[in-house]
Amino acid sequence: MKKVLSLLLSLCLLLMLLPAGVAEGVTPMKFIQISGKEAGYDAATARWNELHPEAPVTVDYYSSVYEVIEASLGIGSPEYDIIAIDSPKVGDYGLKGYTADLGPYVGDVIDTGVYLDSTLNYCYYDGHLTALPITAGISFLYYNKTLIDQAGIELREITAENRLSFEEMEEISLNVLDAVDPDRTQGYSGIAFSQANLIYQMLQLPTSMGAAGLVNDQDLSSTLHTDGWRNAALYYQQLIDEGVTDPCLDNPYNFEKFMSGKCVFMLGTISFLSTIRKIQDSEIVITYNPVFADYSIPAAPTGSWCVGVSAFSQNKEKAAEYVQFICGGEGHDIYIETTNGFSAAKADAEALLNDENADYALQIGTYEVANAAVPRPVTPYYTTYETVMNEFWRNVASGADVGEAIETAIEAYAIYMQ
Amino acid sequence: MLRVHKAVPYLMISAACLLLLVFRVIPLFYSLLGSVYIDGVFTLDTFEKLFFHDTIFWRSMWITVKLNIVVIPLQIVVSLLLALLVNQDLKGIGAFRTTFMTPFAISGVVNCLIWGLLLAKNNGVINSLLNAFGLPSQGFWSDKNQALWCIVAESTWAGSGYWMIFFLSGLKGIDTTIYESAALDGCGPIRRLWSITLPLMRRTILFVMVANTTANLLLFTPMKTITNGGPMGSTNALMYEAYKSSFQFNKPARSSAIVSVLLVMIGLVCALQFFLLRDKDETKAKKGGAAA
Repeated sequence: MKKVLSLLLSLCLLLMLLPAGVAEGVTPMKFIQISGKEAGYDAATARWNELHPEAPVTVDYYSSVYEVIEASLGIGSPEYDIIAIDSPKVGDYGLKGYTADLGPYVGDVIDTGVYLDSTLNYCYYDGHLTALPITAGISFLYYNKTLIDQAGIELREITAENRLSFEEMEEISLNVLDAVDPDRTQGYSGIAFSQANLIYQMLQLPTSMGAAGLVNDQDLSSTLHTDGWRNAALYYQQLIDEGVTDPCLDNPYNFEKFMSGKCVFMLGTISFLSTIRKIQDSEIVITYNPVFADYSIPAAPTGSWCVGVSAFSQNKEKAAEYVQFICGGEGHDIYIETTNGFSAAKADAEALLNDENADYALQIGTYEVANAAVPRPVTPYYTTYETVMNEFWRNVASGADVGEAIETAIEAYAIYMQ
Repeated sequence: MLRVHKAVPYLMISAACLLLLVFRVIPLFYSLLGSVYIDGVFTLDTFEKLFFHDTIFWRSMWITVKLNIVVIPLQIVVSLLLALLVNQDLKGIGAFRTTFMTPFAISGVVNCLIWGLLLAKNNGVINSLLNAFGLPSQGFWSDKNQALWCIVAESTWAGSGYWMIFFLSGLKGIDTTIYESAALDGCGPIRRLWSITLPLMRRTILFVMVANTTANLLLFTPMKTITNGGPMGSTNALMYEAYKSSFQFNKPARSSAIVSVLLVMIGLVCALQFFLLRDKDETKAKKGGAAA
């Protein structure tokens, strides 16, 4: 028995040591990405690994990717060579020294000419190129036509010039709820913000009322002490109080609820498109973002996902080559084809605009990018802004006094900016 | 008799000591240093800002104190009562012990998800029950006056079964003949509990108090999983504030300073508990022995 145990232990030890052995001349690299994008990145990376066996890439996916990046790059760890960067964080990571300057590789392994200017502009920090865009994100209004039909409501024609208003959506929602869930016990809701209480999504409300996302990145008072922000917060509370919108305090993601067919409208990004089209039981329609009746300002949340090279990578040049491959090369084509994503490449956008038979939803997306896009504030303090503003919207959703929530956010921002 | 070399016991505990050193002591010192060394320069600026200019820190401190003043005694009393209940020689008592212990066997995150759903404002189980009896829905997690007490309820539910096991082992260690003698002398159950059980459980109670204090001062999962420190910062305890400071606001020095304050708090509370629960007879005997 002892001999068997010893043998087993030795075998385990051997198995543990095996991965430590790396073939000579091979420089493996690691890429950290957010969960939910596995299919596209795995397919593209598999192709890279075929073409570049001397520099294979493995991708680690985390739902809390920002925290892992902070923990790893915050101590200068060289563990990750390539990092996912949400566009507003380009400045933040540049300020902290997490990202390498890609300038030296432009022309050699990087071709900036292939990217849409609107998305590439996000990728500079202090004049240095520190990331490349892979996808452009834009939000749509999705609605469940089956539910609206069930309530006997006939929706008017919606065009870019004659968009649905938030007030109309609210009224339709209440009518649908009265028809399908009169005692409000079946869990139906009217308007879902796909990323409820998160600034990416919620910025749509104040900006649709003409307010700026961030007036001064040194303090929030000039931003939040405006009618736009105050009225947007009050309107959001009204939707929650009426039961039109779920406060989503413990889970900000409303997508599943919309997928279940229990929600009339959803304001959500293009990333949901391919999944939503698989819904069998309900007819889902994609249309332009709504406006407030008194303002008529269309405001579609937007942003792009970027990829950068860690400042602590030991293989910066090869990592930069991979970044170009995945953002603007063959890997990018594989990624877009696999995920049906909204490309940040110039050629893809031009092809879409010139193609009369192109996907209707992608055409709306292209129109919204050009005419209604509301980029998130570009500031090196974006993470602080985002965290404080997410807390602000959660407080509003929980029913806090709006004035008190505004002052709390201003105070918190001032302290964290010290 | 077999003679063991003096070094053998030290060798035996060396592995545990090494692990403690690597995973506890070194990170602790690293954290302390992180709060006073910024860019390689020694400074107390972080503490100065924290103590004199940081209202969020003081609010978090108050929330931590408020939470622990309630949750520590509550968990100890509930777990002791549970231990006394399951310390009976009854048929099927093992099933009760297992049931009470079950919440601890479930992942803390899962516990929090369950409680999140139970006490959800919209369509939560408890609110549905309240509505069924004609009572109005409560905010629970979304009410700034209730969220902290929901955390108290969740952590008491999750932790009491665990601490019960320690009390139970303490109870099992008490010689039953003492109870028999007391019963013969006419002592009732309350008197037996007060004069026999509790004094003889002093060491167990002390251990549970110290371990429980440490666990609750560092409570994090419900804040991270359910409330995110809200609403309106009402559950933003110090440990969660330290996490946010480090991982969301990129202020590792502030985070280290908050953790250092927590460490001092834990040390002080534990010292107080040791002092209050010290065995006076044993202390006297030691002093007497030393004098002799």
